[in-house]
Amino acid sequence: MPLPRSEREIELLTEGWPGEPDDFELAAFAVTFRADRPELSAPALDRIAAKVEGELDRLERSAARRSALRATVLRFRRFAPIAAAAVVALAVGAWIHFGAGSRGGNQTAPVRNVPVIHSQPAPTPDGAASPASSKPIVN
Amino acid sequence: MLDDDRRQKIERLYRRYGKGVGSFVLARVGDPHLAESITAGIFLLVVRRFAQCRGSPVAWLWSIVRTEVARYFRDRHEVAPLDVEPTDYSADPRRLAERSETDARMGNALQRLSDEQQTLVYMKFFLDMPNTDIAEALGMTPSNVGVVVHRAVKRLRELMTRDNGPVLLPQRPEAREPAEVLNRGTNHAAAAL
Repeated sequence: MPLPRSEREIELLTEGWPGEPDDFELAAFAVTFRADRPELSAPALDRIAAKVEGELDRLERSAARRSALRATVLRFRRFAPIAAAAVVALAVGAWIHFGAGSRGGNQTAPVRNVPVIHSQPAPTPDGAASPASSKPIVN
Repeated sequence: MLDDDRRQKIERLYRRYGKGVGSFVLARVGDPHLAESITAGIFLLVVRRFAQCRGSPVAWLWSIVRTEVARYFRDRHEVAPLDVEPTDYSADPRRLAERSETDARMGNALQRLSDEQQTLVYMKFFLDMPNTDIAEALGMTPSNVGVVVHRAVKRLRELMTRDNGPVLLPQRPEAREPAEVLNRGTNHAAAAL
């Protein structure tokens, strides 16, 4: 026949106690102490449980994101040498194209920086040309 | 990744020990709102640090409980209470006062126990663990657990009755039941003698 709950409780609480004269009173104290322990309310425990669940969900989402990122990196890692080769090829192609163009005949004419000397007669007030000046006009 | 197995273990740990941890924290701090906040913090740490749990989950949980309660007493003003339901002020004020007095004496007594006694009282009276499980969690022998618990209960009784006279226990139905059983136990014991 199973023991009533409280008898089992006493057995559990006094389990392994060394035999002493006042053990009965001490056991009574132990039972009362246990019965009088304060407890959080059920709504409070539910709120804590909800917070725990929320934290578990948050960590799971975060772990899933990290995992997806890692998978993407792993997936594309094998294409890295090909991508690097393509970049190098593009760079070489661009250098050849633009470098060769700059060395060809497609250059602009250099600007001449030499003064031009014109000799022309200076006009006189009556409209007749004066004899040519010995001084040159420098443009 | 947080696998299902780990999630289940954490949920099981909360279902099994959440109430006891909350009860112990409440006995230590004396305020239900703060106790809820601290208990929630304890289990959030359990979730975040579960990978660090190597041996017994109960012993590991206790290390977190002890640390967080100590942290509360060290920086009292930094724990923000959660949004909680208001206190039920419609209850009998005399009972509330008695309850409050009992809780305060219990908290003070628990605080004065040695580390070992406090650990065992927590596991025995708040987590309702049998001696064999406690022994396994703490690396002791079950008989040694019994001896230390016995000593701890004697010390608790001494602390709770020393300065304030006998413990004033509220007349709650659930508190009366064990006493009745104990009376029956006396009769059984007398009959056996």
